[in-house]
Amino acid sequence: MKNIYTTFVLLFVFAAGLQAQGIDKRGVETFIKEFSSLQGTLHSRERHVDDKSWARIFSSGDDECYRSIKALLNKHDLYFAEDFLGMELLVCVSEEDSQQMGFWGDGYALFIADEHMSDIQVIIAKGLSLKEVMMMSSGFEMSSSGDISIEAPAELHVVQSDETVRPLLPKEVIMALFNHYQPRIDMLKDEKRTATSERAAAIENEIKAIKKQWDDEIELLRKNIAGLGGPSFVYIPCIDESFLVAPMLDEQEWMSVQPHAREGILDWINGTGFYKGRDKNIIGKNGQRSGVEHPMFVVAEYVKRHSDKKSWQASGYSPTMEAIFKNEIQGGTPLYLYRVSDTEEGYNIMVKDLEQLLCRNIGAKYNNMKVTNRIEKDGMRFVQYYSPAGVVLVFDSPADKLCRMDVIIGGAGAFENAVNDCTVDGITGVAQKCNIVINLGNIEIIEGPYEKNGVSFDCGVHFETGYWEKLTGNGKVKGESRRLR
Amino acid sequence: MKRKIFLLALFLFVGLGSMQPVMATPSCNRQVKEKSEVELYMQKLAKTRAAGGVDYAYISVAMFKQMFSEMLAGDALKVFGSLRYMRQFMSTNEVGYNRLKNAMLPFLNGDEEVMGMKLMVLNSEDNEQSIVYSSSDAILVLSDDGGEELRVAFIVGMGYSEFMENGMDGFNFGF
Repeated sequence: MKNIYTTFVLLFVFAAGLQAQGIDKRGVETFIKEFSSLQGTLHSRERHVDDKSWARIFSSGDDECYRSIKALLNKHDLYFAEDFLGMELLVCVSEEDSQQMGFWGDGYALFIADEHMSDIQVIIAKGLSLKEVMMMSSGFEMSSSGDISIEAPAELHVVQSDETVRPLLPKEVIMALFNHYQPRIDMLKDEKRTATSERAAAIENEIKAIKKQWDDEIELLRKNIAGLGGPSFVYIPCIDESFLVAPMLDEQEWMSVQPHAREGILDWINGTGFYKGRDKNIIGKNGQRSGVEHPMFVVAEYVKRHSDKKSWQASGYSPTMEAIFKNEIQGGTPLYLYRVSDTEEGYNIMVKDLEQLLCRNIGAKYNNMKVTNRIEKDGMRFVQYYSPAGVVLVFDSPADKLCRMDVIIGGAGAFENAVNDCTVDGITGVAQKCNIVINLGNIEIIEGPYEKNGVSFDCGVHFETGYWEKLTGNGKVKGESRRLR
Repeated sequence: MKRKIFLLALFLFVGLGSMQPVMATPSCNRQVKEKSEVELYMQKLAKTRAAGGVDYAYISVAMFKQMFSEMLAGDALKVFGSLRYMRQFMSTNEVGYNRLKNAMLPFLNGDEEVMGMKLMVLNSEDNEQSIVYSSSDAILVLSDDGGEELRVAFIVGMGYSEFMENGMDGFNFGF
């Protein structure tokens, strides 16, 4: 009987022992204590999130400390461990000399961010998710490197559809790249058939280089373009037999796109049936800035600024509004766009581009547009073009090396009407309640009268471009109102 | 009586043991499912990154859900079903390429079955190769440009059909 009882106890203890096999709390304590014995300058912080949650954050203050922390981590084989003191490795990113690792188990978390070059941070925490711990780390960025990108091989995709290469790029762009690179590859392959072995090897390398270039470009385009999820460009007709396209992405990124790929992108835009164009000139070159203002941005700004006062959505961006935003932006018109020179180089480019628009006199017609205003003073030139489809304002000040163009698409009044028509959380007629002043991307909401050029306005949308003051000397434009109504 | 007490003890032992997946720590969980040969091989391969020339990333589905649960709707998370973790290796220079290629040679040779995984797709043109191996619950994707870039992705907890359904357009997780 005694033996049976002993067997029972032993088995039970063994079973219970398995349960206790979780976190080695004493090991965690020891691990924390080990940091106090490190050489060099150690920065240590303890942070209590609440009664039950805490985090100890250790970071290296100098080279010596960096080395001793590394030695401690190596002692526990932490750089390659997949579990530690009962915590399981949940995430690890290792690039060149840097490595980030996150362990978690039973409420305990350990995050290590070794950025190499004397910079290392170790966070040990209890009662927090690993994500929360990672957010505490100074070196952690949600969108930082460390992408895991697993794809079916391209050829695998061909089996399933007609698309040729990566599925994330629009097919127009893929075709543009194909048309650019494939003929060169085919030509080289033809040549290779009759080439000497030496030349054949050289051709092989050339083909390889072209393919690499092709791949690199796909990667770049995928990064810059495909993620946008739709054509985020604005097409402006009626200027110099061409169309201006304002890409809604960083200008530098757009400029990095190769011309043949741009063709594909523009084909893609045209293919959507929304924007139609013949020639393709891009707004924004080196030394210039360009931007787009949309009525929805104006409304969003207003809602945000008044969210507390009027108890509207605290964030100003309710899901409904985001949905409207998306549709409206992709819908295109009406829009306010500007393009302004930032440097002398940009000025020179812009003046050259816009010379045909700057030289016309009042009454002259140009591509369905008519010059309705022209002012010249001290070498400065201002010309206003009007058409039912929109208004174009061009301004040149050689002394300031300042050139700018403002475009209001959809008719001048359309902008204000659009602002008034927008409904956000039941709020309509924003421009009927206040003055909205737009100036190079800054939007000012004025509750109360707004005075401009001797005219007082109770409400409405106004554009401040700065050149009126320069041209008229005192900021007063007699008999001229640029109020969009 | 002797037999009854022994059975009771056995019951307690087995009973408590079987509760481990719910109660115990993740490290105990892993004892439940023994690692396959290919899993162990890839785990071992992960340690060779110390030599440099290879970028490496590992993410468990627990982490993925933790990171992105706020952004993804429930339906999207269902995609991950029984997914357990993923590893990815990518060569960053010629030395890393050669090292990774040597390690993956058994798979790059295109044999019908390697380490319990069956060859599902093999595309080869010039020096470039795209290969997919699959077992009942793991996928191995290799993409070799024949020069400098070799990319190896290993997904555990996903069968070939699920991969074809969900992975066709590629997974892309940033963290």
